[in-house]
Amino acid sequence: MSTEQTRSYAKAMAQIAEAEGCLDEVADEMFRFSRALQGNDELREALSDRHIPVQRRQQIVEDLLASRATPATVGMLSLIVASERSKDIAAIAEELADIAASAKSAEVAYVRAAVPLSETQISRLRDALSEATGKNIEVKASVDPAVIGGIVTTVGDTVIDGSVRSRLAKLRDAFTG
Amino acid sequence: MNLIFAAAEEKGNGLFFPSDINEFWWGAAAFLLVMAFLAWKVFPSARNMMRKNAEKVEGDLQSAEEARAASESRTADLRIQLGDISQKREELMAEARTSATRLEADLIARAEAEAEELRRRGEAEADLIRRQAAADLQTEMGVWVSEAAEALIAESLRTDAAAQEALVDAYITSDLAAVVEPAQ
Repeated sequence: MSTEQTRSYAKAMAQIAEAEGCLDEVADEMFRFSRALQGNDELREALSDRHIPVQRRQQIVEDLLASRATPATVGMLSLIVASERSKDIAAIAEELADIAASAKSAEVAYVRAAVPLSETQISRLRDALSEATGKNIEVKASVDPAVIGGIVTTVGDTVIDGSVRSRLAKLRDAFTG
Repeated sequence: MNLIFAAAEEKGNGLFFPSDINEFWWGAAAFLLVMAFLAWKVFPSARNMMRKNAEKVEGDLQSAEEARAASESRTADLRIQLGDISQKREELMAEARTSATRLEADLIARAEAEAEELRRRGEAEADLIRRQAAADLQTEMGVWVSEAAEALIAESLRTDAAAQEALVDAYITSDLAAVVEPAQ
């Protein structure tokens, strides 16, 4: 959930990433890391555990992302962990993605699917969402097994739910009256 | 009289004719004297006493007659009152019978109404319970069916990449296309 503090962190990081000329990359890497964190309880708890020394927790982040992310992303995540803001990584990543999309006059569409989407599917989604919303759309896709099948897209305050879970929920409502 | 004188001259008969005529005269004078005394003193008192007795008897008879008349009048009054009482009793009995009949009818009507109300309420409660049970069963069945369907579909989609891809394609071509119009 976004708060004034998470927005401040995201703005600061966006300014640093923009200064480094890698805003899109940093925003994308942050988003991917936040989604990976949401799907891994053990990692999430380890980064939030104050009994583990901060240096150790920063080392975990660096070990995980050293070869997979830009130094700016690794440094920012390390800073967030050192600031005891690990629980806010997801909110900061979403704020950062929004800022990065706004810089390109685009809006972020958060897409949740049951299985990883191919580049082709993401591209088609982007085009379809742009046509549907009339805006330049930046797709941030993540895997969510709870969706079961299909896709759930969130653009701003609008949710376009085409998931099997929601259809099953409607079916259950029809059965139970 | 002559016969008396004749009898007296022949020296009497020994029974009621004295042998001496003077005895007769003295006897007659004494008799008259006694009778005069009686007529002067005794007979008026006797007559007066008899008159008083007759008046007393007459008064008693009159009183008895008045008492009888009063008694008859009282009897008549009592008979009238008895008649009134009988009539009143009949009226009261008739009124009591009417009241009892009306009360009986009211009680029966009220009992029937309460019985009908109880029956109607019982039926309504039974119907409500039946509907609730049916709804609960439907809900329970719906939950079971949907959970079973969800598990079956989730397991099926988990291993069916083609179906997942088809769902994504359907979302892009149908679900998103459906919101194009409102967005424009």
